[in-house]
Amino acid sequence: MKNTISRRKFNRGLLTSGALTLASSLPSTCHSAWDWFGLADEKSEPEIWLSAQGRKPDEYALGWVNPNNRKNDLALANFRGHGLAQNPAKPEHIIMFARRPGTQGIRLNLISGELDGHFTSATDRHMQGHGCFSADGNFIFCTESEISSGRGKVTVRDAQSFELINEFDSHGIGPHEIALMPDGLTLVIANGGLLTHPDSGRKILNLESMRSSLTYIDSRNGALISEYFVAEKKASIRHLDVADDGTVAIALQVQRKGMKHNELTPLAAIHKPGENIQMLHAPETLTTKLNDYMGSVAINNQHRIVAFTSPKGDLAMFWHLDDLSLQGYHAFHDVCGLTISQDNKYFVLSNSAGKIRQINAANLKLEREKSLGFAKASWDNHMISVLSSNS
Amino acid sequence: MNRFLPVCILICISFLLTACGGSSSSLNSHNSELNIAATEVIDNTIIPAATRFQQQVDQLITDSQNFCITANTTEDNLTALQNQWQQTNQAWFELLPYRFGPMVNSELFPTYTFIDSYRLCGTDYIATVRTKIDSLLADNSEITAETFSSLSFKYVGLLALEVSLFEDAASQSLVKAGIINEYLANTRKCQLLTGFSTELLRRADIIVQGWNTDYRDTGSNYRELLVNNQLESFLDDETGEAAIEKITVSVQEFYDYLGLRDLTIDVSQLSGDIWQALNASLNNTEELLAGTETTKISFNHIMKNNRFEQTVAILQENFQT
Repeated sequence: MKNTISRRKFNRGLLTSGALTLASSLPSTCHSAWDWFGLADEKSEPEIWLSAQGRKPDEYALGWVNPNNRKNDLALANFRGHGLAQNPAKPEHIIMFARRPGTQGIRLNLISGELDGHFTSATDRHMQGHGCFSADGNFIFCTESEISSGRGKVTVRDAQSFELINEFDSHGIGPHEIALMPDGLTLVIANGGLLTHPDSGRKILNLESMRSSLTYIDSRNGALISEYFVAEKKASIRHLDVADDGTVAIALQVQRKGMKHNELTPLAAIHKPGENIQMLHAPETLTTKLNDYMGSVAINNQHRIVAFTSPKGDLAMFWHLDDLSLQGYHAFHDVCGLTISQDNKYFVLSNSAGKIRQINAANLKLEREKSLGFAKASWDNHMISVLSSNS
Repeated sequence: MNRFLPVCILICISFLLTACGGSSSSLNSHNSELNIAATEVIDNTIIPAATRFQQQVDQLITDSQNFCITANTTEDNLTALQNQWQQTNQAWFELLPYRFGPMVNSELFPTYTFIDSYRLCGTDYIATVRTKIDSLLADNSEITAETFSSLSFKYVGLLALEVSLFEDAASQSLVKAGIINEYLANTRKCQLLTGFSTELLRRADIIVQGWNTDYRDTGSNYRELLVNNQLESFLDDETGEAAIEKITVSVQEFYDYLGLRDLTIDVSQLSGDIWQALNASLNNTEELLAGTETTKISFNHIMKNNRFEQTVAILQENFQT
C-alpha cells in the first residue's frame, strides 16, 4: 500500500505542477502495473479493465482492475474523466478524456503505472468525453466543441507529443463518441445534437432545434462521407461501437423535455454499411424502464451480440446483431460501464457502487462467482478492456 | 388535490434521500435508525397497504358474484359495486407509491402493470379496453380463467373493471339503467366482470405473497430478503439497494410520476374517483413519514433528531392544509 500512496501523491504533484512531460525521465518510484497486479507471473495473457472513477473532485481518477487477481488501483486525475482509448501501437498507453465540458486528457503508462502525459483543449474549445486512435497509433482523434459557435469538432493530435496537428468538422453539434471503422481510415461520429456552453455547465441550449446525426468522415482530411439520422428528432445519438463487419451500434438518449408527446422511443439502434439506421425494439415494459437513457454500448463480435446499458433504468440489454431480436436483459443498479472480456466470453458491467459483474455472452447469464466489488471505487460511465504484452 | 401537495412531498422525500446519500449528513443507508424505520414502514405501512388492496379486491369479487345473480342485478347493487370498485381503487393508490419488489417481480411483465396499465408510461388504454370488451362480449368462445390470465396488461386491471362497471359497452353511457340492462341482456358481461375481478385478485395475491411468503420462488419472502440485504445473493437480477433507498426512491418516483402525467384527466374518469385516490396516496405518505401507533422510530422522528424539526413542522402543516 505504501507504493500506492506514493504513486498517487506523485501523480497529483505532476498534475498540479504541469510537469507531466518530465515524468518519463524521472526514476520510477513504484512497480509497473504488471508487477503491481502480479501479471508478470501470470501464464495467461494479462487483461486489465480501466474506467474513469470517483464521486467528487478529489477522488476523480483513472482506475483499473485485474480481473484475475481481483486487485484494483488508480491514478488520480484532477478532472472527471469519461471515455478511454488504448493506443494500438503502444498498448501500454491509455488515454482518458475529460467529461463535457472539461478540457483535459491524460495518458496512463501501464508499464510504469504512472500518468506520463496530458493535453488540454485549444482556446475556444472544450472536450466532449471521447476519442480514439488512428490505426497506426500515431494520432489521437478527439471529439470537441467550438465554444463560440457550438460547432462540433474532431481534433487530431500527435499521439506521442499531443501536439495539435489538425482539426475537422464533426458535421454536427455536440459530437460525443467516436470510433475508427474497420477500414482503418473512416471515422464514425455520434453527433448528439445538443448545444451546451461551459458557462451554463451541461444545460442544453437548443432543445427546440436539436438534430442528432451519425456521420462518417475521412480521417485523413475530415471530408464528410455520409450522414444518417433517426426519425425522432429529440433522440440524441451519443454512444457507439463498431463490429468487425462495419456494423455500428448506437445508443440514444431522449430529451423528453423537448418532446410534445409521451410516446416511447427505442434507445438502441444499428447502422449497417449502405443501409438506413434500424431501431432495436423491446417490449414496452423494458423500454419504459430505461427512462429515455442508454449510456453505453459494446459489441461482442464472436457471439454477434450487442449490449447496451442504462444507468437510469438499472438495466443492461442484449440484442442479436443479425436478426435484431432482443436476446435478454440483466438488472444491475446504476449500471453503465460496459466492455467485452478479452476472451470474448463475457460482457463486463460496472456501476457507480464499485461493483463489476460478468455476463456470459453465450447464454447471457450472470457468472456470479466472477462478480467483483470495490467499496471505495465508483466506476464512471465507460470501461474498456485491454490486453497488453508485458514482454 | 392542490398542486402544492406533490411539491411538499417532493421536498420531504428529497430530504430523506439527501439524508441517505449526503456525505455531510450523519445519516446514511447503513444507519441503524434508518434501517429500523424502514423496517417499520414495511411492517406497518407497506405490507398492510398490500393486504388492504387484496381484501378490497376480494370484496369486489364477492359483490360482483352477488350482483350477477339475476334477482340482484339492480341499480342499488350496481351502486354498491361501483362503490366497492372505488374502495379498491383507493386501496391501490395507497400501495402504488411502493413500486418495487413484489409490485414488479419481472421487468418484462411487471405485476403492477396488470393492475394499473397507466402507471407504466402514462398511456390511457381505455379505447383498447373498450375494444377488447366489445370483442369478448360479441364472441361465442367459452370464457375461462385463461381468457384473462393470457391477456396483455393493457386489457385488464382496474381500468377494465371500471369500464365494465361504470358504462354500458353499447353506447358508453354512464346511465345505470342502461348498464343494468346490458348485464341482464348478455350473461357474458357478468362473466367478464367476475373474470376481470378474479384476475385482479390473482395479481393482488402475488404481491401479498411476495411480501409475506415467497418472493420469486426463492423460498423467502421479500421483506426478509430486503431487510437482511440478501436480495442480491438470492437473485441475479436484483439490484440490492438498502430498504431505505428502495422506499424513498420509489416514493420519489411516484410523486415525479404525478407531476409528469395527467392523472386528473386520464385516470379513474368514469368513476370520478381520481381525487379520492390521490388523497389515499397522500394519506399513506403522511403515515410513511409519521409512522403508526406501533411505530418506534419514524422518519419524522429521525428528521427531528437531526435538527430538521422545522422541516417536519412545515410538512405536517402542509399535510393538514
